[in-house]
Amino acid sequence: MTTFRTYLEIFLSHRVYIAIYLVMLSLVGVIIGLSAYSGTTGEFQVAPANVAVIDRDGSELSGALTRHVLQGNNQVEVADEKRAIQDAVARDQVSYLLVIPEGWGEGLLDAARRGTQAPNLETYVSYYSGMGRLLDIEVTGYADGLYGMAATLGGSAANVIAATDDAWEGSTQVSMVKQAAAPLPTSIAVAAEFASYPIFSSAMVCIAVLMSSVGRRPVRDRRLASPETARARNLALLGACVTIALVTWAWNFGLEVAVLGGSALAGSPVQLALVGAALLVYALVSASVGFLAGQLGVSENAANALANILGMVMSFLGGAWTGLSLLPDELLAVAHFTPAYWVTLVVEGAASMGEVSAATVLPLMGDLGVCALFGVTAVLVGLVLGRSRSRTQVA
Amino acid sequence: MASNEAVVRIRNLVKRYGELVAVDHLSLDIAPGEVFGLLGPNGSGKTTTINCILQLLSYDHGEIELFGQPMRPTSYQLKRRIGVVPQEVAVFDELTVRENVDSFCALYVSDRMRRRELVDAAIDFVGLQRFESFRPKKLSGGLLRRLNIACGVAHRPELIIMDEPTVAVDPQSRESILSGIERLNAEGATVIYTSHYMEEVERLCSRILIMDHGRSVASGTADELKGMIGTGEKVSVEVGEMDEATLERVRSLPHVRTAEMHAGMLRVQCASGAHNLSDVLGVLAEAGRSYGRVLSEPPTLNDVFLEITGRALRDDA
Repeated sequence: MTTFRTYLEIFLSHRVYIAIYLVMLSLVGVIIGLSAYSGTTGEFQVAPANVAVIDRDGSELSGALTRHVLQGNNQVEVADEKRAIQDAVARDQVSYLLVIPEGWGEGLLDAARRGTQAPNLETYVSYYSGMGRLLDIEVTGYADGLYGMAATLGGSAANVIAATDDAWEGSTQVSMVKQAAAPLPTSIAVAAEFASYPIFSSAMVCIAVLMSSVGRRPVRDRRLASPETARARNLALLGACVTIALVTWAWNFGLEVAVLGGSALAGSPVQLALVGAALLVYALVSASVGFLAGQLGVSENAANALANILGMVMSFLGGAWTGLSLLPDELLAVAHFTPAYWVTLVVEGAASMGEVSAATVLPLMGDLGVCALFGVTAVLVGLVLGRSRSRTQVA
Repeated sequence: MASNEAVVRIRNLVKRYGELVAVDHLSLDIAPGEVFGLLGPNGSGKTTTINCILQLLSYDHGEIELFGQPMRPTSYQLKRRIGVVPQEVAVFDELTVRENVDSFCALYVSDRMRRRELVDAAIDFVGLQRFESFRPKKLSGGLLRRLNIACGVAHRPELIIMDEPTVAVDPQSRESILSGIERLNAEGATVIYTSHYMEEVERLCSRILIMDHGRSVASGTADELKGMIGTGEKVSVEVGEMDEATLERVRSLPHVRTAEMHAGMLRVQCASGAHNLSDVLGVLAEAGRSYGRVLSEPPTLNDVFLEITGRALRDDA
C-alpha cells in the first residue's frame, strides 16, 4: 500500500504533464465539441437565401415567378444596372439574382401554344455557397411548370399560374420522424472522438515516466534489496497504472458530460454510458501502452515524443481529426489495427443509435472487446519484454 | 544467533560473467559490531560481491549466510535487517527529502507512527532538517549523499552495506558522513564499507579485506596489513643543501629504497626494517651536516594497497 502511495505521489508530482496532456488537451476537445454543437428544435426549417429579382417584364407570369422565388427567402433590392448586378453577386450580397426579360411572360405562353422552346431567364448565382445553384434548379422547375401547364391546359395566364401553384404545393412534403431514443448531442460525440488524443498521451506519458522513475537502476536495486515482495511491487504498479487510467478517463469524460452532456444524461443515458465505456476502455488500453513503454525503459523525453506521435496518429486513424468516412480506403484498412478506430465505432454507433436494444448495443460491446484486446496484448508484450530486459541487466 | 556468530559468512563465492571471473572463490566472515572494509581497484569484484550478498545477482557457486541463515532472493526477514547505501544516489527525484526517506523506510516499517519517529531521527542523523521539503534536484552533491544514507539507515538496520558513500562530496560533508557511520557502529550496527579513500577506511574499519581480480589478496586490521608489506617508513629531514657524496651514502644504507633532495628536504623511502631513522641521521652526523625538522611517517594503507594491487592503471569498471 505504501508503495502504491509512493507511485501516486510520483504521478502527482508531474504537474506539468498533468496540466498539458490532461487538462489543456481535454479542454481543447471540449472547445471543439462546443463548436460542433447542434441544438435540435424538433421541426423542419428551410434555410433562407438572399435573393434579388429584376422584373423587366411586369406580366402576370413574371409576377408569379417573382413571388415563387421570394417565398421563404430574403429579398435584396438591386438596381437594374449592369454594375449593380455584378457587385451584388461578387460581394455575396445575394446568393441568387433573377432577371426576367421584357416580354418573357407573353413569349412563354406563345411558345407553349406553338410547342417551341420557352424564352430564357437571365440568372446570376453566387459562388460563395450552393444555395443559389439549388434555387436556380427550383426556379427552372417552376418556369418549366408554367410552360407545361400553358401547353396542356391553355387558357389565361391566371389559369396557368393557379394550376402550376397547385401542382407545386404538393411536390415536397416534409414530416418529422420520431426516434425511439433521443439522439446523443453531436458535440459529445465530437469531443469523445477527440478525447482519444488527451487520454492516450496523458496516460502513456504519466505511466512511462512513473515507470522510468521507479525502474532507475539504483532505485530498483535498493528496492530489490528490501523486504518488499515481488507480488507487492507488481500489485502496486498495476494499481498505479489503473488509477492513472481512471483519472484520465474520469477527467475527460466528466468534463464532457459536465459541459456538453447535460441533456444527454436524462435523454439518452444508455448512449452516454456507451461513450463513457468506450473512453474507459481506451484509457485502460493507453495505460497498457504506457506500461509497455515503461517496461522497455524509455526515457522521459522518449516517452513524451512517443505519446505525442502515437497519440496523434491513433486519434487521426480513429477519425478524431477527419471523419472515418473521409479516410481513404488504405488508411481505413490500417486504422483497423488501432484501438482508436474501434472506440470511434462505438462512439459513432452510440451517437446514431435510434433505438436502445440488445441488437443495437451488443455489436458496440463487441467493438469494445476488440479495443480491449489491444490493451491485453500490450500488457503481455510488456511483461515478456520487461522480464527479458531484467534478465539481461542481471546478467 | 549467538552473539559471536558471524553476521555475514561467505564461503567460496564464485561469480562469472561468461569467461570473466568477477568473484573467484571468495570467503569471508564479518563479526557483529565490526566495520568491515572491502578494498580493491576498479573491477576487483567489490560491488559484485555486495550485489551477491544482497541477492541482486545470482552467483555460480558458494554460500552466503546472513545472521546465521542462508541468504536467498526471497529471504525477506533477513532483508528486513539490512540497510543499503548504494554507490549511486538511489532516491526518487520527484519526492521531497522527507517523502524519500519515508517511502524507503516504509518498505521495512509499516507502522506509520513508528515510521514518523524513524524518519525524523534519520533526517536529524544526516542533518537535513532544513531541507526536508526540498526535492533532490535542489540539493548539492554532499546533501544528496546524506539523503542517500538517510534512506538506507532510517529503519535502523543491524547490517549496513555502504558502497563508496563519500564519492564526490566536500570535506565537511565527508566528515559528517564518517562521524555518522561511527555513531551507527557505536549504536551496534555492523557495517560493510567500500571506498577508494584509504584514510577513511583506516579511520573507520576494524578489519579490511583487499580484493583484486575477484580474489581476496589480503585481510586483517590496518596495522596487520601494514606489517605484511615490504614498505617501511618515509623519513624527511630538513638539511638545506647536501653534497652528492653524502646523498649516495644515504642511498647505500640497508633498507633505503630511494633518497632524494627536494626544496631543502632530504626524503628517504625505506623498506620495512629496524633503525631506519637513526641510520639516516647517523650518516648526516658523520658528514657534519646540521639538520632542522625530522619527520618519520609510517607506511599508510595507501602504500599497502598499491604494493598489493600494483601501480598499473586499471581501466575496467
